[in-house]
Amino acid sequence: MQTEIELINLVKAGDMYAFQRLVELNSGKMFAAAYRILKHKEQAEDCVQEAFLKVHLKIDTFNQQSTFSTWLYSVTVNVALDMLRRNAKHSQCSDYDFDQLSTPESNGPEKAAWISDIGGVTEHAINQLNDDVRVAFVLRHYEERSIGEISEMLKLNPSTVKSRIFRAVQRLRKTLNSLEHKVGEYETVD
Amino acid sequence: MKQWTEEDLILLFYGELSADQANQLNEVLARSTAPSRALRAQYEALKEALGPSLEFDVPAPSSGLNDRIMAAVNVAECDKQERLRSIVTVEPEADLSVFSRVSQRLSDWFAIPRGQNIKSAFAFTVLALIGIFYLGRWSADPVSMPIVTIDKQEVDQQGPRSGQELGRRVLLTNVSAHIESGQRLLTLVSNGGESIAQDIEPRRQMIEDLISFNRLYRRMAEQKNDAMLVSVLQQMESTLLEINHTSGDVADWQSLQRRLADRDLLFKLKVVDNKINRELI
Repeated sequence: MQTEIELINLVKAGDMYAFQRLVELNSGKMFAAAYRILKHKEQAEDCVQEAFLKVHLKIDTFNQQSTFSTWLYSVTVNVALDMLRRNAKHSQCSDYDFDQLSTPESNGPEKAAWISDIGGVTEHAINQLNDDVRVAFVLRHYEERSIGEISEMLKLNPSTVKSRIFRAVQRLRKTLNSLEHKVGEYETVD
Repeated sequence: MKQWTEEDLILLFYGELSADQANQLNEVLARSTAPSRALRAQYEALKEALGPSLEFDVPAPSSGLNDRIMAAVNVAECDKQERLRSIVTVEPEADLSVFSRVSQRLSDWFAIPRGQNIKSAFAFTVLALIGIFYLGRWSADPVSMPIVTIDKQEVDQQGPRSGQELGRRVLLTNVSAHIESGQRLLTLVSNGGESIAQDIEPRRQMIEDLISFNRLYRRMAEQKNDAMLVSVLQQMESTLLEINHTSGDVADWQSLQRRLADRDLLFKLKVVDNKINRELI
């Protein structure tokens, strides 16, 4: 079993099987990161494909000062951000209607649907965050990248990254508090 | 004494405080004074908010994603090799003598990686034969020594042109094979009876692969500004997605068959495939 560094050196020497191995090892993680940023499965797949193309093209410039994983995340996140900017020109984010979460009056299918909708609300609350704030939060919270790594990936000052994460947490807590209030209403009805 | 804020609590939660600061804050949180209790309550609320309630499910990527990535990388690698070959075989100066041209070819021979030098070898052999021919004539008739003239542009462009042609043909062959697979599937759907859902079920994996590769070829056609191919591949992609998402309901399949007939997609695919095959011939 070859280590990541060995695989990278083989890729630098032109070994396509080594590159395929790197793709197999990392594509899932990169897809998850891209999906959380882009919120769209097909676009996330396109993003991962483009990121690996860039990585293959620039593998000679990878100097192993940062880890391969950080570099790969960096490329993927920046491709995803470019795609977000392109998408922003063509589409507008629809506002979620929180009134849809009116509490059901009885048990049964309505209740099940309502409970399943709560998960959707959490996801939507994250998606409602401003792109810059959301990307920083997603990288810290879900991808477990340190603030130092995020600032390196996004080419931002660490204090800017921190401030974006703080804003994300505050916005999410506000949304989740509103959800908690709805759950309280539901329990009263039940 | 430091006033701890919610931002410090967030940094503590994510393990981003320095070891000293984290120890100090943990000590404060462990105390039983009123401000510590309030801070602890605040931290508990934060942990709850950022805990499991923030789950964000990510769907599984398409099973053919890795293949698609590797196909794109292989195509890019072919393009790179072609560009490299064209750079290596273009001569830097317009007025090189026969001798310097032959020297240049010799140095190119050694500069090009093994496996890419067939075209260069051919060009070099042609040059050497021409050289031997004229050398023979010169030695036979010293009075009328000919001036060697070689169509330099023709010799230079032979390598890259052939290389690009080869890459394009490989790509067109792949696209043609892809379109033919799509045609077979769409024919099956168009002609399917009541058992269509059962017929399609074992082919789900193949459909997903077709969708993945269709997107790859569509993007490549977009880059090459081939509007006709892009349009047909777009229609094929949306139809493949519909097929992939259609359930076992016969009415849904019948509706899909009607839409397929309205779009004339099979005919369009046939036209595009014929065009590609004509280009290949």
